Amino acid sequence: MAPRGKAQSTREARNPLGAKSSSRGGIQKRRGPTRVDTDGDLDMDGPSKRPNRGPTTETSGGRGRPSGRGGPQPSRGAAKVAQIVMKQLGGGSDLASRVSRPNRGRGGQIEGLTWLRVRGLKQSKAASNSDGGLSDLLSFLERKASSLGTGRKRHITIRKSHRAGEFVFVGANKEDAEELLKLNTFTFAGVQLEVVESNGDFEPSSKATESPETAELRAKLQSILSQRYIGENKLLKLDALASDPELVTLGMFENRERALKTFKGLMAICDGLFKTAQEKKDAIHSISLANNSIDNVIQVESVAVSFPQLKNLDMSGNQVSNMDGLQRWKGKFKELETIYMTGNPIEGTDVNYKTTLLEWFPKLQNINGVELRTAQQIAEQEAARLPKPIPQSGPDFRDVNGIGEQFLLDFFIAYDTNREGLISRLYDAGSQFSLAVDAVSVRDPNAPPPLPWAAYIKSSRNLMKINSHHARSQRLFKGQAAINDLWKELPMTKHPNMKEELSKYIMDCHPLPGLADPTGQSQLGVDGLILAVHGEFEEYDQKSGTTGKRSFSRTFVLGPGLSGTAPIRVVSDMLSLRAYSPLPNVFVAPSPAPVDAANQHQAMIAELSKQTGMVPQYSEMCLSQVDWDFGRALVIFNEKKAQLPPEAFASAV
Amino acid sequence: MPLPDADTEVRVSSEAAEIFVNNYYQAINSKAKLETFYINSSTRYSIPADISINGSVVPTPAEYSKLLESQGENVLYEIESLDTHIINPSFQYGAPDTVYESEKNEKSGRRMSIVVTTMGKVRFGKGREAPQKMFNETFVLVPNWDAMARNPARGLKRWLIMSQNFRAL
Repeated sequence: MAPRGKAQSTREARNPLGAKSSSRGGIQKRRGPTRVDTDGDLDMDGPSKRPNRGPTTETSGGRGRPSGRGGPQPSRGAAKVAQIVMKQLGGGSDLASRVSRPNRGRGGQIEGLTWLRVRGLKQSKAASNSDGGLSDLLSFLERKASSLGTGRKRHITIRKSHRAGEFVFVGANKEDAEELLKLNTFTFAGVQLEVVESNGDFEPSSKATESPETAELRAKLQSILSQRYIGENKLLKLDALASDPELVTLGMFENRERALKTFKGLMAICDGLFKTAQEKKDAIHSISLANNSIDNVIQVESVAVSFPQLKNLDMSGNQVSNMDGLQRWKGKFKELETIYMTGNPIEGTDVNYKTTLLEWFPKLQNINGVELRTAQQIAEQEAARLPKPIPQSGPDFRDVNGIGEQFLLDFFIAYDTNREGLISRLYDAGSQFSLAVDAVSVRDPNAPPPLPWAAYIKSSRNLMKINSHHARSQRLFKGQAAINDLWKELPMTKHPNMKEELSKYIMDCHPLPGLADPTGQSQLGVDGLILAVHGEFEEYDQKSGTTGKRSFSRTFVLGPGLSGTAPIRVVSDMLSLRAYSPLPNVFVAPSPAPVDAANQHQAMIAELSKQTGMVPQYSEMCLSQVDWDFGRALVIFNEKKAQLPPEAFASAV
Repeated sequence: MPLPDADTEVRVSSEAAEIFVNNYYQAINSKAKLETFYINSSTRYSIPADISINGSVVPTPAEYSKLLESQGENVLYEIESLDTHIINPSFQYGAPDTVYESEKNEKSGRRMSIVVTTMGKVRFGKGREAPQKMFNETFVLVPNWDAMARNPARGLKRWLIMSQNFRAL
């Protein structure tokens, strides 16, 4: 395990989060010849290693039972109190339950347990003991059940227990529960016990009140936390917890399950110390979880819940060996800027772990003390990921003999000043007009409140809103007379002068084949034009006296007129209305030239040179190495920066 | 020439427009292929659809798909307004020499060409704060002659886009 020694040295060499180095020393996971006992070690191994406590795998300790071998052992009482307080922290206050919830049912702690209901403790002599006899009852049950079997002896373990009124609920795996059930009618402290299966939807009650012991333990944990908080650095040092003498004395880390609960409890207490999330965020910028034998962050997942806005995290000297071990933090810690992973096996097993970390934590800049990207680079990358609207170009005006242009120049002036004349010149019996109101359009927040729709809504043929056939027919105006009758009722308008204020319009015009020939001569139809115009007009509603601006789009289908009358006729005139919002000026916005691969590469080289100070040749080398992935190029650059020769950089001017 | 009556015109054109915009914008939002919406997909039409997007002519539906994709993820088109007119009640362009049940189809409005206008929003990104822009779009839809055959292939669209004009506003 090469990383071990390396971890120690790198840890000493730097000052990870600006913390004073701890006199407690690093991880002391007992291995090899010095190993005496696993009890008392913070052994946060992954859950995969532990679930099946078969007959042969575990003989020394059950549910937190002191083994009596090695090391200073906490008193049974203290351990019990610790268990109780953890239970309360885990299921009691809202904060605590919020903290513990993410783990519930996932760590193999509740899921899959069979619950039994035991009655008799309250009536027993043991009820006068300090904890109401609970611990005695539990060890009685375990001991008796373990000795029941006739053949090979097997240790029976109660994984969970909870007291509710005169009942004690105990949870054990299915096999053990079957043995425990056989203890029904056994005598405990002078009372016959009743042991029955509890109904499936049992939920441990959370109404437990805090006992003096619990309060005392809470105070102790708080005091430990306060010793581990370095205010000037806004750092909470939760490193090497298993070798904290006080925690060891309290029995908080005597086995894995207890250790996990202790950790959750510490997080719950942290949460309880702050009135608001902001207060917590301001007080704690950095947390060290170094040297805790963590191989999967499931074991400390609650840190992400309690400190979602953490900036710096020290995970060095743990046992994380792949990204799976960090998976549960993916998408969390959205503000994380620095992480230390030195001294974890992942350094040797996953060469790409830094790149993955940069992907998982959007604000991450610094890994193991090396800045891999700056805040500005992050901002630029984020901007690059934003959706990019299709670029705007000027008018796509494919006119025929200037007919479309002449029509538009004429139309809006005539519509503002002489609608009846306009109709008689360009509309005929077959011409159609309708208008459609969009009352929920995006509008300029700085513009005055939108004009009311009353004048148009009665004749709006917005098919999204108007569903009846009758209304759809009524609101389609066909022929000069019908259109004229409607236009007389519509508010007066003043459109900008198209010649003088062209930028207030956008207009496109294309030829359109297949129009009906009004003379009936051409079976295949005649060619016409389709025009789409967008713009604004000032409105004066002669009925309500209101004035203001509106935005519109108007689509015209123009065809050749009947010979002898006008040269063109309006086949279709569709007016779409929305609240006023200025148009983009497509006349000044130059349409960006289409970017081909070569141009794009040149742009990337220029950008990388700008951001790194490298000369273009080196930027190109760097980019081509990573297949023109700009983000990765930056990572590579920052990693190899120190090794680059001076000529790689443009000389300072 | 048994042309459709006014009621048929309104009913058939409205239905055609509604079905078209539902399918078309859903296809855009789900990044589905767009070819089958255009006359480019029918051998009856010798010309490609005229597609003009924000002032630039786009040669093919596939190119338009590329343009849409280049906008990035989570771009959503939503229609707020829709209207339609009949351009030609008896469209002939590209029609086969003998149209199947020609008179019946003509009378029932299936040979119409129509102009459809929509107005709505493009949402760029998820969430309430995502920027959004208005747009206005005009389509000319013409009969899909292949769908008017005796035993048309299943799933053929009745109307196809001959002309399209999109503008972000």
